[in-house]
Amino acid sequence: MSPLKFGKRLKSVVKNPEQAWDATQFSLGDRKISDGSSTSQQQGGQGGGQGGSQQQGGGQGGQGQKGGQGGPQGQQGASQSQRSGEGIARQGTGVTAGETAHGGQQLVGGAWPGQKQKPPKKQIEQAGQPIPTNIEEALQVFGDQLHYPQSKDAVLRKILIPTRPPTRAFVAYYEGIADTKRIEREVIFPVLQLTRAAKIRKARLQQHILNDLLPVATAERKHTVEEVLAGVITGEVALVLEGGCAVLADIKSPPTRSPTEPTAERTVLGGQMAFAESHRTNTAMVRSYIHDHELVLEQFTLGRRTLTPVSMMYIADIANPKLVAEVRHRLSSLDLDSILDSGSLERFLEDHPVSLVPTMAGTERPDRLAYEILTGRVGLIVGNSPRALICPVTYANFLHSIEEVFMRETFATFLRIIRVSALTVSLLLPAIFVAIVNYHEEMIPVKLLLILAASRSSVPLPLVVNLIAMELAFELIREAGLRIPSAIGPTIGIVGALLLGDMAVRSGLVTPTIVIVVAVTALSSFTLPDPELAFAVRVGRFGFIALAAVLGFYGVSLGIFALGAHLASIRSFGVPYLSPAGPRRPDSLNVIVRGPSWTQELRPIYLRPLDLIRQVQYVRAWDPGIAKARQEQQGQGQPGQGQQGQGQGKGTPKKGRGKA
Amino acid sequence: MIQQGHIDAREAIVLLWFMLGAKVLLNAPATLVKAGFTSGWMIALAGAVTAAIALLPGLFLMRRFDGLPFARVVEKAGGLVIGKIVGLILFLYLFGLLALTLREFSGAIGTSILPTTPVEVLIFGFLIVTVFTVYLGLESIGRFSLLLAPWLLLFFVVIVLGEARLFDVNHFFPLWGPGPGKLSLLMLQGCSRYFEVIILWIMYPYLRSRGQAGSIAVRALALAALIITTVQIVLLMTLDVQNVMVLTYPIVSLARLVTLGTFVTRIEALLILLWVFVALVSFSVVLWACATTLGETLRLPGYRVLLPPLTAILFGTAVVIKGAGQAISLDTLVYRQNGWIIGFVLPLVIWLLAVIRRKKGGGGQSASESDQGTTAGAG
Repeated sequence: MSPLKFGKRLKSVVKNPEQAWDATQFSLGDRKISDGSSTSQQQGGQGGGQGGSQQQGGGQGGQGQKGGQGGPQGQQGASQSQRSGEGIARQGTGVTAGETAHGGQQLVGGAWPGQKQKPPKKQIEQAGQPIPTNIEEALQVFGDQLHYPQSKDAVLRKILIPTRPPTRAFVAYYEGIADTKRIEREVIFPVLQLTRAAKIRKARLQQHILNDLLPVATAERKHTVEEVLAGVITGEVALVLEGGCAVLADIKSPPTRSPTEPTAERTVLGGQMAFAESHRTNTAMVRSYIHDHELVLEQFTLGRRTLTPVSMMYIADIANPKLVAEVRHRLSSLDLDSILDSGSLERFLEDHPVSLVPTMAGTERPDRLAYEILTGRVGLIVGNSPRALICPVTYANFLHSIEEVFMRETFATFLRIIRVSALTVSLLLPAIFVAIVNYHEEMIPVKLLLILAASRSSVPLPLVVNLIAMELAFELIREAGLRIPSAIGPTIGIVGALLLGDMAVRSGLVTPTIVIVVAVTALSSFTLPDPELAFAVRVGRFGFIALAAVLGFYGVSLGIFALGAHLASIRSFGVPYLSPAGPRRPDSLNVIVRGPSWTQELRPIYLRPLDLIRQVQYVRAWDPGIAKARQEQQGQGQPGQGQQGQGQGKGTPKKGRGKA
Repeated sequence: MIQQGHIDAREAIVLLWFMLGAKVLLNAPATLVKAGFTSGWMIALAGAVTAAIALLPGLFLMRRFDGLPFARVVEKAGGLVIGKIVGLILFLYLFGLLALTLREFSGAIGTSILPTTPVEVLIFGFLIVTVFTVYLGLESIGRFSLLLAPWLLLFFVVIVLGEARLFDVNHFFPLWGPGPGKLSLLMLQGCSRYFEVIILWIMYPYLRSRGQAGSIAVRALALAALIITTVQIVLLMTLDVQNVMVLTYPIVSLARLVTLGTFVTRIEALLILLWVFVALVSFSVVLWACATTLGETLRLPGYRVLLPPLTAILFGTAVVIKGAGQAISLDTLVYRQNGWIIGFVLPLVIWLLAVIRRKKGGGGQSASESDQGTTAGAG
């Protein structure tokens, strides 16, 4: 049936609802809208496996939209944004946990089965357009809103529920993001078959549907069109009943990919699982690392059109409340059209979005995110992005890898020194090379100078042009290697680099020294663990080359000073970027040199965590030497020493308590 | 906000130390040797002690008006007219110092490291980064300086001790140089070489721990004196008095003597790192002090608006100075010989005025409160 014919049919349905409703089935293009009697026979098939993880992921306040759960964190009101031209308010920014579902008195987990619930009238009035009591009008409203039948994945399926007297209803959902088999098994079948068997009266249908009939984990009664639409477009199924009421059941089944190995943050030691493209799976992965009820998951919805869920995860008795409030404030104040990935959200949350250096970190590893959350930071999981965000961050975050937590401290320190050296080389080596060769040749030993001079004598282009050309060629190879199919990508990269370098030298266009400099620089840049920092270094390198070309070491020095002053001035969510070095703060030895794990007693002080103590001072209590030291201290009558959980330790901040 | 930030004691010490010690990279060692011959190092050392004593009136003054910016203190103590005049004099004095130092540093780099680069380009390069840094605020300058300090000190030690093989203790003698009588006078006058410590009084409201101001000044003076004295001694032992006297930038000559093994034989180009970093910290602090003083004197809502015009004038002034020789002469005459008038006598006079007129107070505002709506913080 063409859309035009359907429009006529829909008009006739609206004009003669009783007559039209009697028709048990009518066709809509290549799909069918049928009543319950015809499809109630459809059964079978297993529901999607997402339900478990969806429930698992919610913490305090995490499921506010679903089950009315909510803690004190979920206080952001749902802001409604008017969608232009349609007059229908859609849920916009700041929709969080803890929506009051019972007339202002919030019941944790919703009402008990059988408990009387009065719909919150004031909220209905405030929330938006009520669902029409006439089912035909309701059908038309939802048909308009879902652009039915133009949107081929929108399903509006009419059913006649065999209550006494029969109740007309329809089911609304989007194919693909809702689990069709579960809808059949857990919504349509119970409503049609069990209602008939239980001989339920029409007046008590809503109560029964919520309490007895639907075998789904999360089902809610809704009274406004906007609330129902918000659920439907995120993959829930709506059962709209005549009388102006609807029930939303969470039977989402968005397309996902199973967790795979990390690609940008590979490690030898530690877990080999990366975030997947599923929001709830990602939050569940973090929870699987931190089995602590204090791990809070506050959920926001960002993007008027994408309604992207953003989960803010932190440990309530570790993270600084001011930090949590700041992140919450920034998230809830965003009024955006769309958020597709964590990268785009990062730009809106950062303190210094135009700065060359990142002031928020991203990670694809759940173990790293869990570690940072345990440190007192806040993690953000954005929609189905496989990259979570961490805030606040300091420069050290970009030099660390989670692997260092799992390995011997000596090796970790060695790796960090290598990494810092690599950062310096990657950023400055080409510039220093240009400066020395062009301006400060006296620094070069005579033998080396002769070699350089001999190799340069046959090259027609200036050194700087040569170097920039080679750097650009390398960037081309790197970019091409990323874009072309993975099967031949590495081959192209190797062949390109070899051929380009070799041919360039043979043809006399560049000197071998330049090829060496570019290669060492490139290798160094690959050792940087954070891709955002690597990008910053790649771009900054060209700036330093230009400064060196114009002013030699003087220019490079000016650049370093300006960069350093800039880094000293910026903050990440209120935390100075160069902490704990500038401003200098006492801290466990874990910036470049990583002290032994048993001496990492404090969380970073610059984060001002509520619980400063990560572990007691003498955590290796079994060690005879340590035991002796503890006994000696206890013998000296130092309060709080040697008792687990007392927060004892060295240094002023730790003495005598576990909370800062 | 970082623009309204404050610096802690360590950052203040490092800032003052850089500022007071920066002259060691220029012509100061040569002028000291010219004045005191083999006893030049004593002048530097004694000058620091004299300066430490001479800054006491300034300390009393700032404590009397705790939390107020220096320009407001002068206004309160001496009245509005005197306050404005003194504020402008202080601004001009510091501005002149900045122009001369800028010219000297640029000239030093131009003649020693980049002979083919026009000095105007070097001045411009310095100014751009200085203005950028000052725009970021005192907190950023202090924070970054504290990070730089250990590395620069390490580099300094390499330069100073790199030619230990050439040390000759006999160059120390005669120990008393021009004779005890003249030397005593020079020692007293030596406090002029540390007159920049007056900037501490401009920083005073922005110190996190204002109670430590005296300690900050003394420590900064001690560190600066240590650096200057060490360089003097090493220069004497390495190059002899006659050689040092004729050198424009003795530290460059010192760096040229350093050899690290057989591979790295010339490291004076690396001296540029030390030179540029120390110079930029020094310029930034003085420009910040200039802008803050002028802003407070004119009661402007912020100092940042002054940066573009000050930069333009500074560039013009630095370029107008005819060569590094003229800059060194002016610096020696106006600042190194008579700097004590502004650095130490001026605070003394204002303090006496305040005592005589029985003016005191300042509300005892905390550091964070005191800069609300004033110039020192936000631009």
